[in-house]
Amino acid sequence: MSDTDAQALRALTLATRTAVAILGPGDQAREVAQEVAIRVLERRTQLRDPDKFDAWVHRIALRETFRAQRGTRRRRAAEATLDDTALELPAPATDHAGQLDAAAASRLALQRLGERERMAMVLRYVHDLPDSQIAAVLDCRRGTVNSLISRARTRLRAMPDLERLTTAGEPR
Amino acid sequence: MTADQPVVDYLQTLRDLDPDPAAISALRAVKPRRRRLRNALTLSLVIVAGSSALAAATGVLSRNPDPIPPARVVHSSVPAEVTAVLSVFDRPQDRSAEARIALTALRSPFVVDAGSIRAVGDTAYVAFARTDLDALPPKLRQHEPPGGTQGVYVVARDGVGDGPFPLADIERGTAWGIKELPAGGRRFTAVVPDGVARVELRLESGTRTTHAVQANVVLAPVDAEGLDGWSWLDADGRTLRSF
Repeated sequence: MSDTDAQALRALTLATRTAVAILGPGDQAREVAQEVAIRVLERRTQLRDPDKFDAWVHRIALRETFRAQRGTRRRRAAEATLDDTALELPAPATDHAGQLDAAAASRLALQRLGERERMAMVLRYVHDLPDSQIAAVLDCRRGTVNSLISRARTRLRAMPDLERLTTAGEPR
Repeated sequence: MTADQPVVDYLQTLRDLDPDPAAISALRAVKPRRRRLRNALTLSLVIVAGSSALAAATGVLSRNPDPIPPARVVHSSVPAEVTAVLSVFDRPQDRSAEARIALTALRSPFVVDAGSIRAVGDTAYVAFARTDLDALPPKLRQHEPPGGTQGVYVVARDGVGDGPFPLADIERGTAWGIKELPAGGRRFTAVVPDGVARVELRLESGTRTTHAVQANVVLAPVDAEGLDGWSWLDADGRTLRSF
């Protein structure tokens, strides 16, 4: 495999994981991942430091994923009536037993966080990056990364849907 | 288990997620297309300069063993004088990955306006492109008109493109080309202004054919390398102009 092929595949892999984490599995995540990989192919000569390849791809992937999500929300809002309830988040999916689907509920919960909180969560838990690398991608201090993740997890713990999910299987 | 743990678990399950094999195949398709169309740069730059003296310089570039990068995508707007003549730009923007892959057929030093990409039925895409003067070597830059060359680029879904055709060429009936296809045969490509519904081609082979215009674009298989002349027809078949 040539260097270019390897870089394209690496970009596609990283972008797929980020896009699926935020957008869920489906065509939109696949399109975003392809878009990121194409951009990386087009612009790879602009990257001066090869050691920063992953961080560069993460930045592009996060930007494109959130742009796609904002586009979806704008379309939904435009298609909706003036009824405010139409702008609320859809209900989580349920499986055949009527239980909350953990993945769908998790994605909905993530949507209620701020963008930078979500970015930090994805970089930490999907890509398993240390604070220093997350800070490099988000262009912030290490302490800010800790704050973002800590705040995100505190907010998640306060979400009733997730609480129901964790207590559903526990003995009463 | 704390309430945030399902989210952490969900995110961690994605650590080993691999891309869809179809996505990998689509991405790999970009590279052969680049190799196949590398020679297109020579023609593009000759169009840019409109000068035979430039042909020698571009010939040197085309022998460069490094792949010439595709046109970058930028965010700008299509000039009003172009949208006034070509209603294809009133159509919804095409944001698909397929369109972006097809447009990699256009090479640097052109840049493509991302907001200008439009589908032409199921057969092609058009986009507004311009030369990136900063990317042009000084020797070539001096041949550029002020602001650089800009025009409409057409690329069929098989990756064979033509242009960019400047607005002045479109209006005076010189915005056309005939290209060899990788699969064999030749294709006539042209951009025509609003109001032209069909075109009649008079080929060097003696063949006369008429073809429908779709979204200001004509794509037609032809059996000759050159054109003796062509005519623009309206929706009723009346000749509007002949060249």
